[in-house]
Amino acid sequence: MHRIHAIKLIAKKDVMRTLRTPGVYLAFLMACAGAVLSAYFFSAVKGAFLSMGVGLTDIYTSITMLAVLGVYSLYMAVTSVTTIARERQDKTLEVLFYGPVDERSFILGKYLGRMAVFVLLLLGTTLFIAAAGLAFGLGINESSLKIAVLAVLLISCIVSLGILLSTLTSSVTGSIFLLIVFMIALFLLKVAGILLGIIPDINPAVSIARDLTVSLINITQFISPIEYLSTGIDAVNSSDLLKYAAGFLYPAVYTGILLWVSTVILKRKGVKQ
Amino acid sequence: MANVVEAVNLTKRYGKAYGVKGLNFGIEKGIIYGFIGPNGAGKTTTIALLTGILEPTEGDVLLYGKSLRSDTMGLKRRIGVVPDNPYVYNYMTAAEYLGFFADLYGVENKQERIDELLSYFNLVEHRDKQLKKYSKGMKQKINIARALIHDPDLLFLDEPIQGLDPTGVKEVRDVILGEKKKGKTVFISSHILSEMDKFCDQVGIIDKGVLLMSGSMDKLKRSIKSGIELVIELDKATDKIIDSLKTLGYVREVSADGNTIRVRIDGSADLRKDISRRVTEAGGVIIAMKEEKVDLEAAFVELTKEYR
Ligand SMILES: Nc1ncnc2c1ncn2[C@@H]1O[C@H](COP(=O)(O)OP(=O)(O)O)[C@@H](O)[C@H]1O
Ligand SMILES: [Mg+2]
Repeated sequence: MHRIHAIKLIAKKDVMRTLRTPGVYLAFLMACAGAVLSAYFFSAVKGAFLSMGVGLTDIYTSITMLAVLGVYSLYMAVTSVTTIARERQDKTLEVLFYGPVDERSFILGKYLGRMAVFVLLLLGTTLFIAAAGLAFGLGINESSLKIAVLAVLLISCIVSLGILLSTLTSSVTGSIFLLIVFMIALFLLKVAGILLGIIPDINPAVSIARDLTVSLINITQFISPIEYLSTGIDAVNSSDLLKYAAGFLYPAVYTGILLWVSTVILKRKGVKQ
Repeated sequence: MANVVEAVNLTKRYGKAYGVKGLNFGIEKGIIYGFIGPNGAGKTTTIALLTGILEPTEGDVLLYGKSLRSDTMGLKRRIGVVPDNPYVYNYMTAAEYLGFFADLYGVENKQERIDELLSYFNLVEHRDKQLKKYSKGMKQKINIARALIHDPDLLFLDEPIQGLDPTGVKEVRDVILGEKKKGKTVFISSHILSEMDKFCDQVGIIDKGVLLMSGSMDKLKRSIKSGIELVIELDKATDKIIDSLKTLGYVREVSADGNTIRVRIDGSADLRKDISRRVTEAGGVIIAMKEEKVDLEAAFVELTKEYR
């Protein structure tokens, strides 16, 4: 009971802080500008789509939503990875823990605060994309809601990964550095996978390297939040109930495990530096 | 056990080095307890251990007779902590900051309590100013107001008057005396001994992580001239020599640093002859031997020196 109270307050505090930073408005403006550009583009090529007989509204909505999601993924990753590191750097972390706050309520409060910010952004953006669609004569339908659900699941994975990385560092700079290293490592692994797929088996070293990379890529499928996007898309588009449920289950389990690990790390590391 | 705070063999190691080592002391209800030691002595570490934000490597903390480990949340609600610097949320206003912590502790009559504290610290006209625009002294007052928001029974302050102007010092002292009058217990650290004289009911002296004494000021003054430390330089310090010295009844402690050994002796008798005989018997050759003041006195000198 007390814990829920603390979680709520920490989340609220973080939302209030975010609303006082320019970053959140910048991200929203970029998303809206993207939506307008996209709406303009699709309305210009409207004739071609209509003659092909494809659902213009669906295509406009999904492409715009995914592009916007790209902006928000980056914004949410950066703000999540810095959120705990900043409190540690400013030592407001230890002051918080003088009070009735424990590691679990702190981590959950941080997570819910980030998610609340994202849901606010998503709500505004979804409405804006619909409005732009109407204004440019592209129409609206429920496809944006499907993608919005998917977006929440994806961002949940990104936020919990960001929080986990944040518990590992002691400064804002360090946390951003860690995020960049993490993203570069994932990217390089992908590139290596593609390259090794092209190179023929000229000697055993290549095939060993390939096997190794493939197994690493298999492991990163569990670590990288982006991987959950594809299962999510499957889920949203699927009429198979089981597949749909699995699409929700994976990100939920991923989030749960990462937040639990974050709690353990914070306990191990302590709040006093 | 009537003590509000009880440190039992409290030890914190940072890697191999000790932050504090085997602290044992108790604090009675309703007193002001001064915790005095030079910079790096272990005051901040001790406060972190006593307030439950740092896990001891060894030992335990009892608050109100209960182990801090067994009821961390319950006990945290009864204490207020003022850290060594005002670490505040700079983007909040004073009223928002106090309001956040009031909510966290579930303070009833939140607005009244905030107004009461703001007017007590003469900050009413700054209540809606962002804390980043506060001066250091004003931030320190908000820091203390925050620690008092839930009307704690036990207050910890880590060098609270450091860097304050004389008015600020008086204000902080008045707050502490006010809390005492209300029957609260106060733990206050400082690296300036004379600052604590007359103000504290009891004191603890800490140096290099070791508690040198705990009790009344009088007891402190009496205990200064007891005990000697012999610093002996040997051609080669062996375990045999050290072990042999340790068996002597009046030897309290033996420590070695290269070929120099330090021997702490109870009382003030001249035991140099006895000691040198022991060393020779154990196969050692003494190059030099000198008497040094005990740590307590050294600490005392250092403390008073810093004040001057
Ligand atoms: N996080 C830490 N890591 C390593 N050593 C530390 C840490 N915190 C404190 N210390 C060491 O522990 C000793 C006591 O420090 P501290 O409690 O801050 O002393 P004080 O508050 O009396 O100045 C010092 O030698 C300090 O260098
Ligand atoms: Mg200190």
